[in-house]
Amino acid sequence: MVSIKIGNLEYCAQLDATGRRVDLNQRPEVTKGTVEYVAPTDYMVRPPMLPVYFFLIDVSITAVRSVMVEVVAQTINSCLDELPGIPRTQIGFATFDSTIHFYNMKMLVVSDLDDIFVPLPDYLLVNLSESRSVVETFLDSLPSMFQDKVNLESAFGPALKAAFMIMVTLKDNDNEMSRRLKKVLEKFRSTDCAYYQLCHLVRQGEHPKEGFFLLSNLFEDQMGANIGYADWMLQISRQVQQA
Amino acid sequence: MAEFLDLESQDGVRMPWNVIPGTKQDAQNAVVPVSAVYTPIKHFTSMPLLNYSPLRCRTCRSVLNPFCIVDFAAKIWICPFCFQRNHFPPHYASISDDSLPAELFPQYTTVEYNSDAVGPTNTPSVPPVFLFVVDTCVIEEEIGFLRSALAQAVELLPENSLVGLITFGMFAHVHELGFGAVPKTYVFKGSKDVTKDQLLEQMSFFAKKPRPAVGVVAGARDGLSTESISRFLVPASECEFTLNSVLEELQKDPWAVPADQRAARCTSTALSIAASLLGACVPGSAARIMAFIGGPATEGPAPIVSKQLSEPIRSHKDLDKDSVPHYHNCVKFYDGLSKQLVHQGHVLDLFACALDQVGIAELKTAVERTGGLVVLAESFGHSVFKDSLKRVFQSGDYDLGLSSNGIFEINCSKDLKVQGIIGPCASLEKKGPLCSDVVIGQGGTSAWKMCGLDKSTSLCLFFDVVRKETPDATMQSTSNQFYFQFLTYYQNNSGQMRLRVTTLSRRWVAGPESIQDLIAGFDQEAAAIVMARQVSFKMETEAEFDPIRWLDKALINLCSRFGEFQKDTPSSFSLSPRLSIFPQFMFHLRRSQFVQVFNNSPDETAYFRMILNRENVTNSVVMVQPSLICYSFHAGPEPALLDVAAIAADKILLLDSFFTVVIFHGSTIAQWRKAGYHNEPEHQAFAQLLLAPHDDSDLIIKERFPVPRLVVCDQHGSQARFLLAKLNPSATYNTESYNPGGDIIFTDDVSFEVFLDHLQRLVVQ
Repeated sequence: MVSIKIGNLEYCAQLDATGRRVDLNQRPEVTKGTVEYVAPTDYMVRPPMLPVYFFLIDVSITAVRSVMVEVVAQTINSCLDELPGIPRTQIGFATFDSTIHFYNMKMLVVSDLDDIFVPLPDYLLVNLSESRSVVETFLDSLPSMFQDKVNLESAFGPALKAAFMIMVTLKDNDNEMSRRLKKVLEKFRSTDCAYYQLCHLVRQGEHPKEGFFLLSNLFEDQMGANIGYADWMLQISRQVQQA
Repeated sequence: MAEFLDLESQDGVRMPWNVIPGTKQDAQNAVVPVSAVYTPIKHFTSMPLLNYSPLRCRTCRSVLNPFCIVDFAAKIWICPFCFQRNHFPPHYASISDDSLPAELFPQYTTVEYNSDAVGPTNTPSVPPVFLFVVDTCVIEEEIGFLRSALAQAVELLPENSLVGLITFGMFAHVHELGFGAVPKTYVFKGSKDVTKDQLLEQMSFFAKKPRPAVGVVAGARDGLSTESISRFLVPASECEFTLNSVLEELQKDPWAVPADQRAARCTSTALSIAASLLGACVPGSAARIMAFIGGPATEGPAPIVSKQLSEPIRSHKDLDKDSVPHYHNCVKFYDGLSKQLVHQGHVLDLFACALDQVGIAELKTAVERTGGLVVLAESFGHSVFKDSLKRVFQSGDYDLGLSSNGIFEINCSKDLKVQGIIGPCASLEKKGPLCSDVVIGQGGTSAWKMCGLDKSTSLCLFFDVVRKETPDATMQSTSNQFYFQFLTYYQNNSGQMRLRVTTLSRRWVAGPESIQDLIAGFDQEAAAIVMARQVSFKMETEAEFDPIRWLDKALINLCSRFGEFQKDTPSSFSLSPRLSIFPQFMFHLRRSQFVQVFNNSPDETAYFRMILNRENVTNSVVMVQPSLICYSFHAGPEPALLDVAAIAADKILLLDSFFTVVIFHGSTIAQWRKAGYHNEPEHQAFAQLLLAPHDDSDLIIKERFPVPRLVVCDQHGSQARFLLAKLNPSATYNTESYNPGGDIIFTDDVSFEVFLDHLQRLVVQ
């Protein structure tokens, strides 16, 4: 399989003496069964989502004493150049033991594990290219930060949830289409609280904008609902098409 | 008048009645309560400091004092309060009438015992603690002002003190100043309250050792390690760099605020966390929460208003109509917080700097019960805030004398009972026969906690005379004296424990023949202040209370009883010099901001009343009836009547109303100043005239806390309203003629002359 870039190439070609296209050797799609195209902007609603890498690092006593923290820091540091998506790549870190530690020029500790929240609206994810030196400094100092800590507990579940919350709270969130979908949800919820339900990222409909909306505006609700998930998605889909 | 000031300079006491009505009926007829304004730790140059334990009565626990009867031969002293006979201990063996201990000297009615001189030596003094709670939901410019003010405060902190920092906006951040490598904060959701147990668990106070299974956990002796405590409360000498780094990085709260909403500000959560943090780390030690708040609380357990800008902050009209959805819940929350702080012995100070209200009205309980300071300004860049904060930490001549862990106790004669205290203190619920059933202020007790106090903190004590009038003259008591004893245990700003004892004796009189004696002992300034505190208290605690009617009725009754007049002849009315300016005080009190709340927000009213409830008589009189000084070419500075007639085109007036100092230039003076005459060599006298009121106002501003606002204005200028609002409106647009070059006040209020005329008519009828 080969990838080719489609430009302004003409699709017609002359035949040679044996009856084959003269550009046979330049057009893999006419000789190969499987090909992949790099899509131009005509095929995109908007630029692709920023690549986001969020590292959750266990810093409880077991991890520290087994030198895992040190190895993890070194490994991540050595792989920074290999992360795809540069220069748009976003990167973030959190560590956890009995509490969750976020980083933004300082350590922000969230200790309420029953009601996890993100302590800052932004800057917990940074652009890797622009903040390369800060990231490297952080990774260099990470092992010594927790060298003397004695903490037996490891709150992986809440930490994972926090990472999820950070990654869905991107700056691109505030746009016209996001606001429209939020209004739809708010209207539903104001009429029937059953619409406060867990929302999974699963495509259902055929409309190309539907997936975009869901990707941009992932909502999470803990409340149970008596309405089926599929029905909910169906109504969302209808509203989207009317918008 | 002068003799009352002498009494104050000896004991720190001002009493409306220095000859006390001796029966229940006489006290009721006296109108002004039997009360005292007492300054517990007023500075005296000649007060003896005693380095031994006080001698106390076996029965009532009162302290040996000059009014005790002493039997030198039998080595016995008789308590004047309960008449118990007490034996002197062996080390008083040498006592005789020419060899007296200091506490028996007749002139030493106020003495202080140095508690540290007795008991275990070299007890390590616990350092004072300052926990800053800083609002970050303010504009960048305000953050800058706040940053520099706090940096200066950190420099001025006592060397041995401990410092902590909490910043808050939508969330509360507890800064770990003792963690060196990386700046670190513990973040709490602003919308949730945090209990002390939750705080202990979530801030890893027991990370290295198991938590005690039972009992209340608090302080180092209960399992908390010094190491844990020093993460958050760090010696000032060690954390200056770290703290300044954190302050340098201080930023506006990062959460976006929609255009139709207020910022999310979790004041109540931050204060609750601060209280729990101090309760966990340093219970019982001298500790102050210093809250710097730049706007209304909208988030957490006690918001004063919702985030929606469409909902206005409560006003006095809303309070009167009880259409205040948040107010009562807030007051209840802060009442609980104040109980927690009082139990811990900690102080809540409030620095409110905002163009809008922040919730002082709701916080009043917590600040007042803990003896905290309060400052209200428009901006953190305003001199009222900046200079006031500097004064908190200033030492030397204008040292506030901030002290802590005060306990105040009262003993008094059997025929008196304590009704309560209006002032910065909290009841310790020590019930007993001394307590009156009728309560005013913090009552139902004879002991109070004063977590914070300074050398000018003054309490207003109310007493109930319960002595019955006996029909038989032969049953007259052997004594016509009432005795009072005030005991104040406190820790001064050097960390030393002290016990101050003030013992008073006042003659009582009874019956209709006692009028002249009562008048001779009447201190009308103290009486005015007692009435001011009481009317403010009633306005806050009694629904449907009409302050004007109450004051007027009291004044009429007082004048009816103590004035001289022929019935139905108004012109015959006269008052003794002892009472002659009391109607004037009442006139200005009913026009003051303590009673007229229309033009003020609930926050401003709460602020004014908190200051009134903690200042001494002299300063309080200035709040009720401001002082006015006149400067002119013709004469040196001289006091002027607080009247619009004092305004003249060729004069400068200096008004001191405690919260504001106004320099007012008459129109001619203003013209000359604008023309620049004071810059010409031949008009040196004019330059000096312009300078004189500023010199005097600087003196006032320098020694006062909170620092007053200085207003410089001209006749007919807009800022002149600060002066006009305080003047007696003897000339209004309704009066026929007025002084040329003077001024009129555009008001329908009655003037003092009309007020007095009505008073006379009502008294004589």
